[in-house]
Amino acid sequence: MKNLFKIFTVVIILVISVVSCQDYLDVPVNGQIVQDNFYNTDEEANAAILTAYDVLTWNMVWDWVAPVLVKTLPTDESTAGGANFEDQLDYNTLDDYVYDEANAKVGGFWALNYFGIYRANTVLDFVEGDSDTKARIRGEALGLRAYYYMELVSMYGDLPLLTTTLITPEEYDRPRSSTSDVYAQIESDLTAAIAALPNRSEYGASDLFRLTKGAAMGLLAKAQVFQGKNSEAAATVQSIVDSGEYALEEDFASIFGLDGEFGSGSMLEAVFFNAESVAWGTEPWGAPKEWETNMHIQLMGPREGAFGGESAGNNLREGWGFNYPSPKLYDAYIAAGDEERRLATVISEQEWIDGGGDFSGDAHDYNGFLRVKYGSKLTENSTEEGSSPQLSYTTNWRLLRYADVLLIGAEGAANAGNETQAREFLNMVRNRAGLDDSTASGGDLIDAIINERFLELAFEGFRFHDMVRWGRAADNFDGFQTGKHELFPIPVQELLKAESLTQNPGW
Amino acid sequence: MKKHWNILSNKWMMSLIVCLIATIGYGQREVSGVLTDNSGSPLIGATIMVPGTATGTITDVDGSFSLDVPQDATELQVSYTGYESMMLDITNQSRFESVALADATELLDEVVVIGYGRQKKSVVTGAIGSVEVEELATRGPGQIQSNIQGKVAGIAITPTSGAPDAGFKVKIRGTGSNGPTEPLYIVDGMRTSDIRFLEGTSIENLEVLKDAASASIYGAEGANGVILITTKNGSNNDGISYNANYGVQQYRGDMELMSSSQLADYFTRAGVADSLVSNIDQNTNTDWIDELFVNAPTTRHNLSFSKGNDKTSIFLGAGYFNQDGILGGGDISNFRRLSANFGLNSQVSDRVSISANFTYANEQSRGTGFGDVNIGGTIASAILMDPSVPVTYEGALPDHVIAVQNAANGTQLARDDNGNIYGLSNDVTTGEILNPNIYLNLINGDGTKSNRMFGSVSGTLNLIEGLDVTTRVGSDLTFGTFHNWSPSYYANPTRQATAASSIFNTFNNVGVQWENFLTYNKRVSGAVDLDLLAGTSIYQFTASGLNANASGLFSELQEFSYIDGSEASTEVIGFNNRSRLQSIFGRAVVTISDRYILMGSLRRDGTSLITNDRYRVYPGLSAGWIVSREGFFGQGGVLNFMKVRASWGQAGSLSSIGQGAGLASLGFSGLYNGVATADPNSLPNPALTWETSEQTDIGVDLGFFNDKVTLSVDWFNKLTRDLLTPGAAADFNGNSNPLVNAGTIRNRGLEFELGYRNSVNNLKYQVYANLTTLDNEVTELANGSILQGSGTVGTNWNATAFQLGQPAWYYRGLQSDGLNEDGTPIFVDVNEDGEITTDDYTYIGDPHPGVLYGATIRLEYNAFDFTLFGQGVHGNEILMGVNRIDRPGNRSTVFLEDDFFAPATSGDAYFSDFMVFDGSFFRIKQIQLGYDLGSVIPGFNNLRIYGSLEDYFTFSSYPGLDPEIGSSFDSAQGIDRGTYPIPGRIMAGVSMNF
Repeated sequence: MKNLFKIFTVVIILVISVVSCQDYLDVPVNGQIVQDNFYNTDEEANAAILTAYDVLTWNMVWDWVAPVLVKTLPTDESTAGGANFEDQLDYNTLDDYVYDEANAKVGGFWALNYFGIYRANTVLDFVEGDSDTKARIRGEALGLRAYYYMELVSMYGDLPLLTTTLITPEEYDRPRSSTSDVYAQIESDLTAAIAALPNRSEYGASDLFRLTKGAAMGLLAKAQVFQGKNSEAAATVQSIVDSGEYALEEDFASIFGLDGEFGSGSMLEAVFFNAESVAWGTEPWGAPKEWETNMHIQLMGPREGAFGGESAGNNLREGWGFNYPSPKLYDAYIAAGDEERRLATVISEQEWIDGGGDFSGDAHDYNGFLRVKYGSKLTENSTEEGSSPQLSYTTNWRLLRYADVLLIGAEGAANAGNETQAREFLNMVRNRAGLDDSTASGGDLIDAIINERFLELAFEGFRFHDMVRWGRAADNFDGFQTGKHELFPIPVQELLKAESLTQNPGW
Repeated sequence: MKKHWNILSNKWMMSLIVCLIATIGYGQREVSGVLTDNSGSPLIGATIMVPGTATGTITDVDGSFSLDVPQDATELQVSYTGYESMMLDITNQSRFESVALADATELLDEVVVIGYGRQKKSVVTGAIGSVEVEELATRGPGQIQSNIQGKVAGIAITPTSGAPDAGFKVKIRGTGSNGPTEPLYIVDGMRTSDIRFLEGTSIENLEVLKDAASASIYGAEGANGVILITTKNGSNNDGISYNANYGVQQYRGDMELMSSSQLADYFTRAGVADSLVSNIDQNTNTDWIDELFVNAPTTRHNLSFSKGNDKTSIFLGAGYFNQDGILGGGDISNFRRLSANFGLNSQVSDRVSISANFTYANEQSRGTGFGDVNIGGTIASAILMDPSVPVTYEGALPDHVIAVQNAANGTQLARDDNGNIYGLSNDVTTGEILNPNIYLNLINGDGTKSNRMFGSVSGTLNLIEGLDVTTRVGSDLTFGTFHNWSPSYYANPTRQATAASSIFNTFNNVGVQWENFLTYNKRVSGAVDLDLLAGTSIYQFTASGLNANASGLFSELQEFSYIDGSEASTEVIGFNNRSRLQSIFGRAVVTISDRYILMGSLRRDGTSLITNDRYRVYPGLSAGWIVSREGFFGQGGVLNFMKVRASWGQAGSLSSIGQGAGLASLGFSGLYNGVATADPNSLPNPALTWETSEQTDIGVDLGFFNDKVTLSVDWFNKLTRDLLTPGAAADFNGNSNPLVNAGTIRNRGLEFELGYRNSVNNLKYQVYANLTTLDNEVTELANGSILQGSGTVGTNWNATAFQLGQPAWYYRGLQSDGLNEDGTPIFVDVNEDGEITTDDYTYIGDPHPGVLYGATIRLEYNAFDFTLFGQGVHGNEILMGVNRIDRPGNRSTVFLEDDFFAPATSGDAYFSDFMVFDGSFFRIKQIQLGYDLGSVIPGFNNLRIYGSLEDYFTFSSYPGLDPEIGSSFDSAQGIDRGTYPIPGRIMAGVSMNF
């Protein structure tokens, strides 16, 4: 009997020890890297910030959504094109001002920028600034967050403002913050980024894709002009000029080629590259974040079938026919006598044919002109190691150029009444294009700056917000309704999921 | 009020009767005693009468009685509802210390296994289904689930296909999740998810815990019900038994395919291009279904030995089971199991008993590959393949084959073992739709081979009277490999391989469980029985292995297919995942006066799969009242037994939660500027938790004509909450949505089980029937959210959806509204936008049967026995998903021509209810005739020979191969994408005991 109770006692002790063992359930999840045990080393911090940059190139993740094209199509620079109206319907409806709050491009543009913000916030949440590299990476994250918010606020106005990823599901719904609050956040982020980031000249060649002090200042100048802080913007641009970090490239045509990537006037680019030979059959439709090449260059080439083969004299080959230049743009170059920039931006049908291209006589939404800037250039793709030329364009998007910043400075100075400084910035850009100094003043000076941005920055995605800012959209964009189209609608699925969101006026 | 009066006044009544008798009696003597049941528990309220007089009494709460009887009385009649009446001889005896009454019927005698214990069936308060295990030995299929099908109300069991190695979808009381709904299996106390290793002849007992109060003792994994299996430990009946059967399986469907001329005619009428029609060689007619299916054998041998005495019993068993597949024969699909099992029970000393059960099984199975896939399955190919193509070419090749040979660019065309090239369609059927033999040719190698060791050992120590402590250790080990290799071949640009390839995987699954529990079982304070349980459990499951694949075998031979380094390229991926459960549990069953039963249980489970709030408590409550044991309940009436019961409980399910679910994990597949990025995969959801089902059950058990007829009726309402569904965070939160707990499914219905047994002279007959109604609906899901299932049909139709207010994973597509005069289909413009698009998709069918039923009739006459067993479902629909939407040539089922033909050129018809058919069927699962020679041949206790037909006759209007459509995809149930049909079997067997 005593023995039995001994056994029983032992059993009870064993049982209690196992049941009360608190960490019995702490089982490692093998092979899974989670946030809690990442972001410690410089390399891990770098992998985190690269994700925040990578979103700049996620142009296939929400089906086909390239922010630059989304912003270009509603303007007077181009028409949508494609095989027909149904081909990329939501790009076509943007062009024709018949889009609505269910437009997938409007929804994708919104999501893309917010995904970028989330990844920047991840860095700010988890990476501590306890090494020089990590401190710089935090600065990059602040600059990228400001970039993405500026993209959003200029297209949608008031925004849900998230500055951390550490939220609970109860916080998934939140109201929009005012435009001025968003800009306040942008300015504060950029100010901190400027303090944390090195100058461009301090980066090695392989790090030139990173945000620099100068790029953050350029973005700040834009944010200032967009808010009407004109003299501050002019001062910011002046300090960029004074820094000597940037210079306009001598040859405008060289800027957009592969050789022109990260040139002396380049301040921020979205980097595409051909990681491994991409060919039909192996392209990552099922894993669109793994598209590393720039598919929109193929999408925006002259429509195959209508425009046969290639026009070697223009270094262009056929594509899928989107984003045809408008006659108005072509005429603007002619009127300005600006052949250098025109030939790097838009050519006529005859020039295409003269260069060796064919034309069947008919293409959807085509107005007689073909695009060279961000064109489907023969020299920008690859057939090496089995790559398909259609899938292997690696043209970078130029997101911020010195010329853009100078013209922003000109706008700020002119608005602030400092016409000398305004003309100085303006003429730097004009002279590089081989044009004479402008001596315009008053309203003419404003007109000259606006026209200069048209010629210098066509197809780079800035004109929509420029024209809205200047109050000239309704007069120039067919279908634009004042009081409605200044802003995109908040995507309809967002309104369904977050009850606190409100829709923009007119939608 | 009558009940109330009875409870309180037994003693008072007895005293009154005694007083009355005493005042009027004379010349009397006193007889006294105690009445008990078989187990020694006192019987309260039993009647004691002097026959032929009004003199009598009833027993008190201790079961004792005392009665003054006339001096000349010689016997007393003792009776009690539910027990055999008996006569007590009182001529020479006036004190009866303990008289045990035998239970009147088997029904009340049966003991039911419940979680961590046993209970007399008469006092069970939950809904527990039992299966007669004797039947398991004589059936054809090798897996137990197949033999439970149709035998228990409330359980829908569907083989995932008719392939020998196919698993089952077991749904207890409906589809309770948008993910897996498999029940938990407990074999001899050890949990497992796979019972394929078990031989039917080694099973002692099989119960199904259907209601939540019964299942909640298994807490976190009981939400989809629990199947409890006890294997044999031997018994007092010494003996050797041997069972063997042999069967021939055959395809029993009647699906008709078009002949070459019908196909040509159909294409012409449907407006398919003339060039296609002219490619049909109307002189050749191949029926690909006939070509594909062969007669295949199934063989079983079981030998077992049992020996025991009062103290110790053992059981030893050995089994062999082999089933070849009807698709291509045993070389293609096969399941073989060699097993040995051992059971031991021993009362080591007065206070210590031990028991052990072990099974070792060596399993080998080969699947058909290319089975249930959206495009290009082997069987779908047989249905759709061009009939004008011969199986192989002998002699000169036709021109179109020579053209293919040229296109193959040096790769061999697929050919049979004799080197004859397999027939290829002249562009009538294209792409993935091939001569099905070409698919079968890709299946080579060992298939799945595994060694399984399953078992548990327990020891019980009796501490004080009624109080036992048990410790039990169980293990479930599987070690195996999967191997397959495919040669290089060329059929067309879509289906080709320029190099031979091989897959060789190893897997190790190790489950270990340790449980300790105290049980206390005692009658206290007279009429109150206590049955208490308290215990702990820990369980760990580890799955590890390496998956390797290679291409460019050194030589296209099996010898070079084991990834030994001789291949051109190899890739290896490993895994090692572990999860743990930690539990404490307790239960109290209180039985008052043998007729009022109350049960309460609690289990607190913790799991490593969940990040936050790892512990949860699952309660269960039930109560029963055996009305027929009340004094007021008239005796000798038609209704002799009546119990009403009710239960409520909660249980969980972890099966949808994967390793590391809800964690903030990072992905590294992206690059920026050529450097790997660390991308947060989704919004984290550390609050992710398990599904919980909450079920209410109200039931009644009735016995009529002294239990010749029994009827049980249950109503149940089961809500499964916190389903794992994609979250609905707006995009501005900046990342993909995680899984969240949002969604509820309700299953409710009625279950009826009817039994009738009787005998007339030498004819014994028995009827058992069950019927279940089921109503399934998603009652909570984010507004407007439509989850798409994995039931893709053709290239891009997600044919199933999960949506508020609809049955789980209903069919969603275009709704038709008849045909135009030219035979083109008319569709309903649901959103009224003037166009027929995917936005018009709507409900077009329900995969869930509204009614499940099964019935067995058994007759015994002298040495003959006969069994007829049928099972059916009603009210469900089948979506025929074999047709290629995008390829006009790939359509050769004959009903297309008979019923409508224009859809051949209008793909929309294939996204619509034109492809939805009534899925109701009734199948005669077994007709068996047996004869026992045991009395004729000396030396045998029993020597039975039998013959049977199984799954042989099916009544259905479905025009496909087989209406019993299974799928391994939980969200694609009911979709026939070329499902391997269930074979019919002609069986003969023998079973003997000596």
